[in-house]
Amino acid sequence: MNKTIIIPGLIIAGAIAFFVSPFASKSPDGLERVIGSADKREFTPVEKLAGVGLTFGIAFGAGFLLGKRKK
Amino acid sequence: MHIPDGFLDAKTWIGLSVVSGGAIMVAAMRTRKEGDEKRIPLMGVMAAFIFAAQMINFPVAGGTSGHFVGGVLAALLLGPFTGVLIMSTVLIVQCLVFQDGGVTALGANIFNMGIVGSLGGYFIYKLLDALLQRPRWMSKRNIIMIFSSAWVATVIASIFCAAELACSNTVPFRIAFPAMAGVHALIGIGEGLITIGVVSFIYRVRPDLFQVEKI
Repeated sequence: MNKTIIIPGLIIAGAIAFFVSPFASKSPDGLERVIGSADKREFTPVEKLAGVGLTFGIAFGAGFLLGKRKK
Repeated sequence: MHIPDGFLDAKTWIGLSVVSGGAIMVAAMRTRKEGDEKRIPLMGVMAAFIFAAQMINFPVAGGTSGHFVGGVLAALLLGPFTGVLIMSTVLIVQCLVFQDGGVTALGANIFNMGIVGSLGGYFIYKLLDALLQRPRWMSKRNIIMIFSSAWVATVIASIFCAAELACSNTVPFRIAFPAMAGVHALIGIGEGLITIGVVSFIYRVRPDLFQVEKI
């Protein structure tokens, strides 16, 4: 399970964050268009990659804690 | 669809924080009760994937962009309550580390994208499932159901977002509603297509992972 899910899943998520996200549209999204706010800092691919790792770690940790059955 | 700080008044953001906090607790208890250890790595990977996918804003009409939300995807793969936890994790990291969505608006953002996006989307999926007499997984009718639930969840989440802005006297509802629902009707098409793409890919390689038939 770990090999077939974690490694390919993280590679895909990391590749999206590192290689694809710099090409994302810079136009304001639907909400930003309505409220007139599009003032966001642009993060580097490395920072985004770290975010992917952090999100994985927190969700994995939550899953680990919640996945254990009460004895 | 991430509401920044300063656009919701206190009654709205406090109220939605309480609702979302309660929903997260219920979701955690349900996930714990189901106690499936197979989900542990999947929760991490799905959260990481949704976090990364939400960075990819794609252009929609009129110089506006949109991004994948992922609530229905998480719900179909891991169940609606685990989906709420995954979406909450993504939104918390985006808010606290990447300043995407305000701290005071975190409860509202979890409500819109986590609860409506995941639980609401799953409810729509199950409703369609009953109406269409439980079509076979990845049949044409099932694919239409997945697309529809992702699209409807995105549009409903945007309508809630418009209502929250209107309740806070930030933008009148008569302006916020058509603007948000109109743009998100287009963004929802992307949401539906991405959800179908990811679901069919995972179904092809690991059909055993889907929780949707078990809940």
